[in-house]
Amino acid sequence: MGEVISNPVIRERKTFTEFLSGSGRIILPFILALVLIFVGEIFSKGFSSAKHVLMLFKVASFLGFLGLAQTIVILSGNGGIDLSVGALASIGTVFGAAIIRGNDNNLLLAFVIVALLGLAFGCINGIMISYFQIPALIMTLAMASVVNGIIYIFSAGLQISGSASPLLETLSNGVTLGIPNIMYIWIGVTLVVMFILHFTKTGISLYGVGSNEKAAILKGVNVKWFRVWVYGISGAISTVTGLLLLGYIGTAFLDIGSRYMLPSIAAATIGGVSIKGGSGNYLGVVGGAFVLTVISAVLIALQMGEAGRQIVFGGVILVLLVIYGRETLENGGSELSLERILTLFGLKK
Amino acid sequence: MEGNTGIIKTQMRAFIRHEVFMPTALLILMIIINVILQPSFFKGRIIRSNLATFTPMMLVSAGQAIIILSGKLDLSVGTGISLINCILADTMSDRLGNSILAILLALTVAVAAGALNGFIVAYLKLPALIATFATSAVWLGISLFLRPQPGGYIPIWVNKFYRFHVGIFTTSLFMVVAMMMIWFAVRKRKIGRYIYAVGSDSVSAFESGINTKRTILTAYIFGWIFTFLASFTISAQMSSGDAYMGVPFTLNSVAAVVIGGVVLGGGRGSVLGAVFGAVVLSLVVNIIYYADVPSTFQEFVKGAIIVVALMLIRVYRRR
Repeated sequence: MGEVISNPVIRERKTFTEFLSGSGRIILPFILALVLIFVGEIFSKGFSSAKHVLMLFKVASFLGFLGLAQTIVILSGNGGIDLSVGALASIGTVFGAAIIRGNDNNLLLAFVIVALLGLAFGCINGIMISYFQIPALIMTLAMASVVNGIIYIFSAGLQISGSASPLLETLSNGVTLGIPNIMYIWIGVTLVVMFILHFTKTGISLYGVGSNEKAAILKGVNVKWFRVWVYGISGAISTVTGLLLLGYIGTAFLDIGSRYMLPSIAAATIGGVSIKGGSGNYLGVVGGAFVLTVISAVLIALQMGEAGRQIVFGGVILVLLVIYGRETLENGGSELSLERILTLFGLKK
Repeated sequence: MEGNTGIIKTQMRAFIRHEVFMPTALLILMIIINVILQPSFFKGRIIRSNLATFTPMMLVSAGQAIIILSGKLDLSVGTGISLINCILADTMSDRLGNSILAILLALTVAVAAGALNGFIVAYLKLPALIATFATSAVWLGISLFLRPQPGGYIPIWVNKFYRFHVGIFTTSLFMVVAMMMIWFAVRKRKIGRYIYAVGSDSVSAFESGINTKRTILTAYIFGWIFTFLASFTISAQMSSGDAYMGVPFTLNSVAAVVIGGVVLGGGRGSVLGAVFGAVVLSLVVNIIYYADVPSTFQEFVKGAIIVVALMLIRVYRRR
C-alpha cells in the first residue's frame, strides 16, 4: 500500500524534471515568446496581430540560420564555438552583392560561390582547430578578423556597391499565401536539419563526437576530419545567410553580420544546446532565436533607449539561463527547487 | 666534462620547456622586426609613449589571465572598462578630494562587478562564456545610461600623473611592475595555488578540501582589480568617457592570454606570459603601421599574424 501512495509522488517529480530537461526545453522558449507578445500588445496596439508576429518570425529567421551554424559547431564539442559566423555573414552579403549586381541571372552563381567561400573559410577554421589544436574561441575570433580584413580590402579596392536582385528580394522579403517566403525556407531547413541530426548516421555521429570523443573514435569516426567538415558547413551556412540578409536589406553594408555574432550563441544556449557539446535540439534554437527577436521588439515597443535595451537584454539572458539552462550546469543539474535556491544562498546546507 | 654538458643540456631543455619561453621568444622577435622598421624604437620618448599605449592592454590581459587560470573566462572586461571609464568621467572634478572619492567609487564598482560575475559563474554555475556575455550587455547598458554620448571630464592632473617619468621609468611601467609583484606574492600564497589547482582540475581540488567556488570568485575579483587599473590608465590618456571605448579589449585580452601561453580551460600558464602576449599583440599593430601596410590590409594582417603565432606555439608544444 505504501508503494501505491509514494509512487505517484515520485512519478510526478520525475516527469516534471523530464519535462524541463526534455521537450520542455523546446516548448518553454515558445511559451515565453507568447507571453512577451501579449506584453508587447499591452504597450503597442497590433503587436500580437498575425501580421506582426509573422514579421517577427521573418526577422528571427536570419538569427535562426546563424544559430544553426553556431549549434552544429557547439554540438561537436571540445570547446566548439564559432565567433566568425557574423564576419562570414558579412562577407556573404558583400561578395553576394558584388556578384549579383541586381541581376537575377547571377543569383545561382552567387549562391554557389558564396557557399564555397564559406565552406573554405570554415574548413580552415576546422583544420586549425582539429589538427593544430588552436582553441576554437581564439581561432574563429582571428578568422573573424581576417574575414573582416578581406571585406575592407575588397570594398576599398573595387569600390563595389552591387545590390540584391529582384528574385533574391522576393526570397527574403516576399510573401506567399500570407506567410513570408523566408518562413517556408526556415521551416524547410528546420525539417531537413532535424532529419539529419536525429535520423542519419552523420547526425548521430555529431552528437557522439560532441558527447564522447573516445567512443566516437572507437566507433570508427575520424573525429578530427569530422570537425573540419562541421566548421566548414557552419561557414557555408553563415555566408549563405549573409546572402539572404542581402535580399532582406537590399544593399550590402560592411558589418551587417557582426551584430549577429553573440546573439547566435545566446540563441543556441537559450534553446538548450549545452555549451559543452553533444546535447541540444535545433527546435529549441528556433525558439531561442524567436524569443531574442521578440525581446528586442518588445523593448523597442516600450520605446526604451539603447541603454535600457542592453541592460534588459543581458538580464533576460541571465534569467533564462538560470531557469532552463540547467543542462549546462556542472552538477548534471538538479531542478530549480526552493531547496536549491536556499542552498545557493547558503541558507540551507 | 660529460656530466657537465649533460646538466647544461637538461637545464637548456627545462628553459625551453618553461611556459614563458615561447611568449618571450615571440616578444623578442616582434621587437627585432619593430626595430628594423622603426629605428628610433629604443629612444626614450618612443619607449615612454609605447609603454603608455600598451599598459591598458597589459593590465587587462593580466586580469583575464588570472580568471582563465582559474578555469573560467570573462567576456565582459571590455564593457567593464567602458563602465569604469564612464564613472570616472562623470564623477571626477578638479577638486582632489572629489577625484579620490570618484576613484574609490569606480574601484568599488569594479570589484562589485567582478564579484557578481564570479558569483554567477561559480555559485549559480552558469557557463562563463555566455553568462559574462550577458553581463557585458548589462555593463554596456549602464555605461550608455551614464554617458549616451562620448564626453565627461577627467582632470588634467590624472594625465600628468600618468605621463610622469624619470628617464624611461614611467608611471605606467611602475604600475605594471607593481601589479606583477603583487600577483607574484599572491601566487606563492595559498589563494594563488588554489587558483591553479581549481583551474587544472576542479573536482580533485574540491575533493582535497579547497573551496572551489570561493577560489573562482576571488580570481574574478583579482581580475577586475586589474581591469579597473586598465580603465584608469585609458581614462588618463583619453581624458573623457566613452561607452563603446572598451569593447575591443574583451577579445583582444583573450587573444593576448592565449598567445602568452595560458591554456584556455585553466591551470596552466602564467600571468607574466599573458602580459608578454599583450605586448606582442600591441607590437603587431605598431609593425603593421610602420611596415607601410595599406590601412585596408591592417585587420587582415593582424588576424593572420595571430593565427601564425598560435600555430607556432602549438607546433612547438607538440615536440
